[in-house]
Order: sequence, then C-alpha cells, then structure tokens
Amino acid sequence: MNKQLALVSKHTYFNRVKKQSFWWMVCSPFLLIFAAAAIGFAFASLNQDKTPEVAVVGNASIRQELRHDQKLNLKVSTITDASQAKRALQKEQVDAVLTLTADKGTLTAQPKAAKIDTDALKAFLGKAYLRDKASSFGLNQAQVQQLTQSFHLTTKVDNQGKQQDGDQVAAVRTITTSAVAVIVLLIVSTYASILGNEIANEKSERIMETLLAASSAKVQYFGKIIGVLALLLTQVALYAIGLLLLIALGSKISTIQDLLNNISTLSPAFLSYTACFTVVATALFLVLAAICASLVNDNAQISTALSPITILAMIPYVLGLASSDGNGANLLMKIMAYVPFMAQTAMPSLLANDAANWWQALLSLALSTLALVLLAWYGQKLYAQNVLSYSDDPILKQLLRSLKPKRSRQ
Amino acid sequence: MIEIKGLTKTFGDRLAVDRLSLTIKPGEVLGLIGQNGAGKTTIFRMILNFIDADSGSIHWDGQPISNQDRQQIGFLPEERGLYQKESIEAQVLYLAQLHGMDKASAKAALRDWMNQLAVVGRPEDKVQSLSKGNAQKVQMIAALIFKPRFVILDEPFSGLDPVNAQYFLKAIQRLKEEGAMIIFSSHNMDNVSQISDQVLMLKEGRTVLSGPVEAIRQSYGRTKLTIEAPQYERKDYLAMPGVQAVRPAGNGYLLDLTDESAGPAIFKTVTAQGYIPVFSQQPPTLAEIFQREVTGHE
Repeated sequence: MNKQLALVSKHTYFNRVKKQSFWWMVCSPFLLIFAAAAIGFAFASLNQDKTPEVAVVGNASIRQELRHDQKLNLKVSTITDASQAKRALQKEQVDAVLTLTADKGTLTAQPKAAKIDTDALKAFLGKAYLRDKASSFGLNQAQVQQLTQSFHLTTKVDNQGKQQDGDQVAAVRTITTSAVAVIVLLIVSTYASILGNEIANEKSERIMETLLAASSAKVQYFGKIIGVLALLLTQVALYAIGLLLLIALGSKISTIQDLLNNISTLSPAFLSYTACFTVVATALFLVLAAICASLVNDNAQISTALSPITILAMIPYVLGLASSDGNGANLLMKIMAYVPFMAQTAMPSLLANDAANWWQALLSLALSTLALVLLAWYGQKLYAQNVLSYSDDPILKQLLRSLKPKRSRQ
Repeated sequence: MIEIKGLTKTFGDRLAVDRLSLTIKPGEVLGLIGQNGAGKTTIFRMILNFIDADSGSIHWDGQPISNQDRQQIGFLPEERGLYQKESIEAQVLYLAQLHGMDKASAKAALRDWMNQLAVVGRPEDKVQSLSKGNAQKVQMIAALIFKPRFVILDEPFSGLDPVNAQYFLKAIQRLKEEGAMIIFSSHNMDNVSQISDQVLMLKEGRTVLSGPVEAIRQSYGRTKLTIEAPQYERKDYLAMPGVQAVRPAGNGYLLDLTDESAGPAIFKTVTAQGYIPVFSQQPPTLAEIFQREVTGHE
C-alpha cells in the first residue's frame, strides 16, 4: 500500500512538474514584479523631461526662492507680468501661472500642463509667507523655527526585546493581512484546480477502472492529494530559495534591504503560523476538490464542479480584505477565525491586529487540522463511491445522493 | 482456485446478479456470455471490489479475496481508457509497478509483448498517436505484463478485426498454459468456443447454463443436420419423419431435427441412390444455444 501510494504520488507530481504550465505558474509572480518594475521605470523615464514651467506673478522674493528650490521640481519662467503670463498660458508656452498677493495665491494651469505637486507647493508657500509675517513681527530666524516646529509622536513595538517602529509594524501587518488573503486564495484555487483536473482527466479518459484494479480508491485518492501537496511544497521551496537570494543581495540593493526590514517587523511566530495554516487550508480544499471532481463525467464539467470551492475560498478572501485596515475587533472575524475553511485568513488577520493571542491561534489551527483529518477520512469513502459512476444528474444532486449512508470500499 | 458462491447484487428494484456460483481452476478459461445488461460487468466489478455484493462470497485458494490478492488480478475493462498524453512505456510501466512488478522487468517484457500482439508503434510513442486497435493492444499488455495469476477480460475482442483477435486468443492461450485462471466475457461465440474450457450463460442476472462447451452442446443432442444431396429439394426433406425445419445452407440444406434419432433413417434415404458429398449431424452451436436460451428463439 505504501509503495503504491508513493507511486501514485510520484506519478501525479512528475506529470505536473514536467509541464510548462507549472513553471509559468511558479514564475508568474516574478514576471509580474519584473513587468511592473519595467513599466514603472519606462514611465518614470518618459516623464523625466516634463518639468512644469510656471510663471510667477507678484512677490519677487518668493519667485527667487522658487527658482532656486531643488525639491519642488518646478521651472520658473522669466515672465513676471500678469497679462504676458496670461497670453503665454493661452498659447501653452507655460504650464501654469502662479499669482501671489499679500496673503493668498492662485495657481492657474493650462489643460495639457505637466503635473505639479500642489501639496508640496502649498507647504513651500505656507512656510515662506509665515516667515515673511514673522519677520514683520520682529522675530529672528531661530524664533521662527521654534514656532513652526510641529509636535512629533514616535510609536515603537517591542518584538522580543527588539525595538521596532510601531507605524511601520502596523502598516506591514495591514499589508500582510491583505497579502495572506490574496495568496491563500490563489494557492487554494490553483491547487484545487490542479487536483480537480487530474481526477476529471482520468474519469474523462475512462482509465479509472484500470487504476482501481491495480491499486485501490484509497491509494488513488491520498496519492493524488499528496502528489499535489508536493507540488505546492516545491513552489514554496523555490520561493524560499528566491528569498534567500534576496537576503544575499539585500546588503547591496537598498530597495531589497527596505523590503527585508519590513518583513523582519513580523514576528517569526506569525510567519510560521500563517505558513502552517496555508498548508492545512490547502489540504482541506484539496480534499474538497477530490470529492467534487469524483462526481464529474469529463473535463468539461470540472469548472462547474469546483465552483462551490472557489466561492468557499472567496469568503475568507473578502473577509480578509475587508478587515485589513480594521483593528481586528470585528465579531464575525473572531468567529470565522475558528471555522475551518475560513480560519486561514481570519486568524492571521486577528493576529496581525493583536486581536488574538497564540493559544487562540493554536486552537484554531488544531480545529482546522482535526477538520482535515475527518474530512479526508470521509472524503475517501465518497471518492470510492463516486469515482466509477458516470451520471447525467446535476453534480449537487449526485453529491447529496452519495452523502446517504452506504457500505463503502477501502 | 477462484470460488464464487451465491453472489447476488441488486440495484434498487433491479436484480443484476442472482445467486451466481462458479469455480475457476488454475490453467482454466471461463467464458461468460449473456446479452447486454445480463450482469457480466457487475460480476467483474464485484470480484474487483469496485462494488459490494449484497450477499455471497468470493474466495481465492480457500480464503476470502483480499486487497493483496486483487493486486494479482489482470483486468481489461470494457470501457477502454489510457492516459492519452503519456507514452506507451510510461503508462505500462506505471501500471505494472502498481501491480507490484519492478520497473526493469516491466521494461524488458514490454517489447516482447508489443511484438507478440503486433503493436504498430514504439514504446516511446504517445497513446494519442495510436489507432484504436493498437491502443486496445496496449491496454491488454498493461493487464497482462505482470503475469497475473487471475485474469479478467471484459469484452476483449470487441472492436478487433479477426487478425488482431487471433493475437489476443494466442495471448490468452499462452496465459492459460502458464497456469493463470482466466474469466472473460464476449459476444463472439466462435471465440468463446475456441478458448473456453467452461462457459457460463447469463440471462437477466440468472445462470441459465454452465459447464464445458462440448458437454453443453452435446446435451442438446445432434439435432442439426447439414446435407448436400443434389436430387433432394426442400419439400422432400420436410416430408421426412423427424424434420422440424429446413433452410438452404451453401450448396445444400440445414435440417432441424426434433430428435437426433431421426438421423440414421434420413441418412439411409438420401444415400439410397449412392454417394452424396455432405452429411453432417452436429449438436447446435453455442450461438444457437445462446439464442434459444437467452432470447427464447433460434
């Protein structure tokens, strides 16, 4: 039995790992990142020469300051007269006209103007006007600086004795909660689909009787699930190698260093728990996929058969996204965190928001693992019952019929 | 030895197999015949544990058949199926290994089997590139390559031309000589007669006849008489005592007798004027018995 199980797992694994589609799937996140970076770089390159040119009318000293400022990315025109500036604007010779009076300013831009960072401009002008006014009140530069200094509150998180920036941790956790929801949905739907197609393909090609005569429904069922889980672990291992390479390169590239710093703000326990739950949740969905796929007659029916699984996987995904910027106090999330098929997204979200502690997380993981064992055991009976039957009845009807107690084979 | 006793299966209100009993000894071939839906495939599925019997027992060498025993069963299903995108070698080796054969032995045996069954193709060819007949041969190889002790073949000859059917018959004969127990179903009575030591005839799940082919035939008496006697016409034969029906057959006629004892008198009559080329008094063929027993008419 163990030898047969290993054979079926290997057969499932190598059949898939040899296919180009698997490698496209593995490489797709990297390709997407590369494509996004390439587009961003191209966009930035194309925009480099488009520094907006602004004619500044009134307040000559501020015009001079603007001309010499390096941060605003503005080119100040030589036009200083209001009517000349208006004509230049109409002829699109300048991008905008900034008219300054004693206590206010107006920025008028033409429709095709290059983008002007108005927030930065507003801050710059606010500071300049404040300085002018302070000067008129007889304050010196040091007094002005003290007066304009804002109150700064720093938050920190003590992660096992390591002091971390609290704002950064909150931001990373929010992003992580959303990322976990997306990643788990992708993994679950991808691998459930792989397993479903594998079984549907065998039913479609009418090879099931031959396979069951050589082994048993139990061996085929568990062998395929193990084979597909091995594929998932291969993908995870490849990404882990990728991460190690990133760490190795991290000291040389500042962007990677920033990314690694952000990841390091997450506690190892949070990362381990999320990884464990992703594997358990994927196995749960694989078992469901195997049961649903055993009901189909051919490949054409597999998407219909797997649609309830996709919907089920979408629920925690939507919940995860909805709560990504919350504080984890949502009652529904707290309940879902203990419900198998939902907990893989809900519990990491609670953990990320400090709304659950580690024994609660372990309890949730234990419940999902128990559900996996029970469902896998019951699933193999349903699989054995349905995998050789070919029926024109709707899949749901077949499923309900097979749920009625019957004697089954091992 | 395989012993099946009182095997019964119902699907809802329909009785699929009714108290079936049979025995197959090593080196013996049992032909299972019956109309579509007579219960042949259901019997195979119960032996293979694909479905549970309602009652009855299946024993192998005196012990209830186990999952380990089942690994030693070579099975050719009625619905042919192979991984279309895999090579012949990849899937035959995979199936052989599942049956407990080691990969190297299976690889060595594959070429021999491909030659024996005259498969047109190479081991590395994908199944989807094969003709239907060749794919069927590959499936037969997958069922037999690991030298099973017990072989179940569900309609092995369907879809094969007479030449290829002969390759299959020879393969079955070879397995029989090696001591395998073989059970197969077929609608081709010539093939059944040719290789079966015993036949079992089913009608709506019930066994209507069972035993050695020749014994079954002889039990119906020599009531089929083929005569070529140029001076005799159909009406002449019909007028003879004991003749039930007459129909043309080749250059002569085939007579159905009410009793085989009518033969000597007819022989005396038709040879009264001298030599006639054909006078053959035979029991009914298996096909004729099948038609009589299963469909109720000849």
